[in-house]
Amino acid sequence: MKSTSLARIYLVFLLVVGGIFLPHPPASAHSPTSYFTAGKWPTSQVISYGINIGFPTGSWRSRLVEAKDQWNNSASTGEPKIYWYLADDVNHGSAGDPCGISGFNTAAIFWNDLDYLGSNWVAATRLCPQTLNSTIYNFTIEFDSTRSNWYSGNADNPGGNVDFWSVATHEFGHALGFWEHIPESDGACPDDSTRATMCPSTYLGTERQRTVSPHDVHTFDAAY
Amino acid sequence: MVLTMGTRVAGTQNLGTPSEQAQRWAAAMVQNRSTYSSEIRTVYNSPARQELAFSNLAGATVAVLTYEKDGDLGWSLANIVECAWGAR
Repeated sequence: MKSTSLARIYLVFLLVVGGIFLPHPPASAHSPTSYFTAGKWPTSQVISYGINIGFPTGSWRSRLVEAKDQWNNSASTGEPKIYWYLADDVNHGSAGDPCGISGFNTAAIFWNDLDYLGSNWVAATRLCPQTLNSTIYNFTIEFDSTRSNWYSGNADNPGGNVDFWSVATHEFGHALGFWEHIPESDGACPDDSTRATMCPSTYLGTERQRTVSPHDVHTFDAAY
Repeated sequence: MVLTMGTRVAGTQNLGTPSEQAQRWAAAMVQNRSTYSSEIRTVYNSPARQELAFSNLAGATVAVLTYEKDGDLGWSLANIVECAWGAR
């Protein structure tokens, strides 16, 4: 048999084997209508937040900046961005009532006891849309002040700790309108380094959700 | 309208039935919102999901809490929708 025929047979073999056994690329995005159910910010909105009195200083605030920058740096034209523009260490009002904080677009970050929401909650984001699936006016984010195993550094997360940076990136995603979690059973939420940012929970001792995953970016782009 | 979404630690157990957890939430809320009735209504119930509603003293629904069951780890609050209060 000629070498060209052998090469053709080998090529066909590769195509067949590859088509059957090689993993297909994952879907680039899930439907934005499944995830942006609360509403959306106006086009090109500059969202301003401040830090409420009582929030820890130093590395905690640095991680907040890095977390919101994950989204800002991946934002395309017309998409909302979050900035640390408002006053810090003042009383921004009640985290439980983002609609009650005076004015429009005056978001705030809180350090509160979240045990009343559940002992396994580490953070909560609240949005204030006028009605469901309409324009978002404001947000608040609360981080659980009673948790003793936060890790606020930017190195490898020591085992057994909740990675503050990862949780903050996740919460800013909610604040931007990425409201619904990707289901835990979805292929985008494995218990490994490829876990998407907007999966519903965080694993102790990991730092895998600090950055915004391609899946999250594609869904965000599709929504805005 | 205020929507609340939370993030949980994977693999950790949460204690209490949805009703018990909802009462804890309502007790904390009453400090700020005196208009809540203590009565809880179950508006949806399945083996994996429960939705519980609170009304105000006038009988209007003001909050719906959704709980999801996570295998052997018990019921966890998934999200909250509150309406009929607040500035908007």
